[in-house]
Amino acid sequence: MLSSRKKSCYFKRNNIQEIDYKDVKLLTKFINDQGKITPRRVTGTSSKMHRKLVLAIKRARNIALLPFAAVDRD
Amino acid sequence: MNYYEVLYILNPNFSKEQIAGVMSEVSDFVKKKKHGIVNHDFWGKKQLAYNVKKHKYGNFILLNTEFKDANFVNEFKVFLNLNKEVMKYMIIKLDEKPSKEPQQEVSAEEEGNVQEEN
Repeated sequence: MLSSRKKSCYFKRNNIQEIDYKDVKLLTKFINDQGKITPRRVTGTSSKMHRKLVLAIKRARNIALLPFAAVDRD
Repeated sequence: MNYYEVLYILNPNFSKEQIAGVMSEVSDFVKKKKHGIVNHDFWGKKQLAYNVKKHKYGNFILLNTEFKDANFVNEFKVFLNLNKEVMKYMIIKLDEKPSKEPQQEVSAEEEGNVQEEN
């Protein structure tokens, strides 16, 4: 069937209410190798947490913890 | 009464004494105007996601403050802009009082990977 595997929100599963922009390890799970934010339809994040996640990623980008666009360093 | 979190980056080639010097300079500026400091900690030397002022690494310092009036944010921004040692900073308003204990996230492996540049 089409909807055989139901995705669930990572933050709901791990009981996380607030996302800190300094938690780079967590945020890197939700960006791809180009540095783009993974869409909700892929990750299954709830709408509420996705909004917080996007804000945290954008803050981390601003202070050089995450890339705006990943390019080869060499 | 508002709480703010300031994360600022210093030159990666600074020694411990130079970092402490800049930190006390920042503390003095805040305390001189009778605003409170909750935390002021060295967060570690980290690799930057993109080059800042042609540097690949940076010394991160985390500051949690309590400003009595919101206009001081602008004054503080001017101070940071004029300070040549601060390469980049970000000020964020917090909803609640930050906890006293800082989150130490400087893991041993991360420290090991950091190399001096130039």
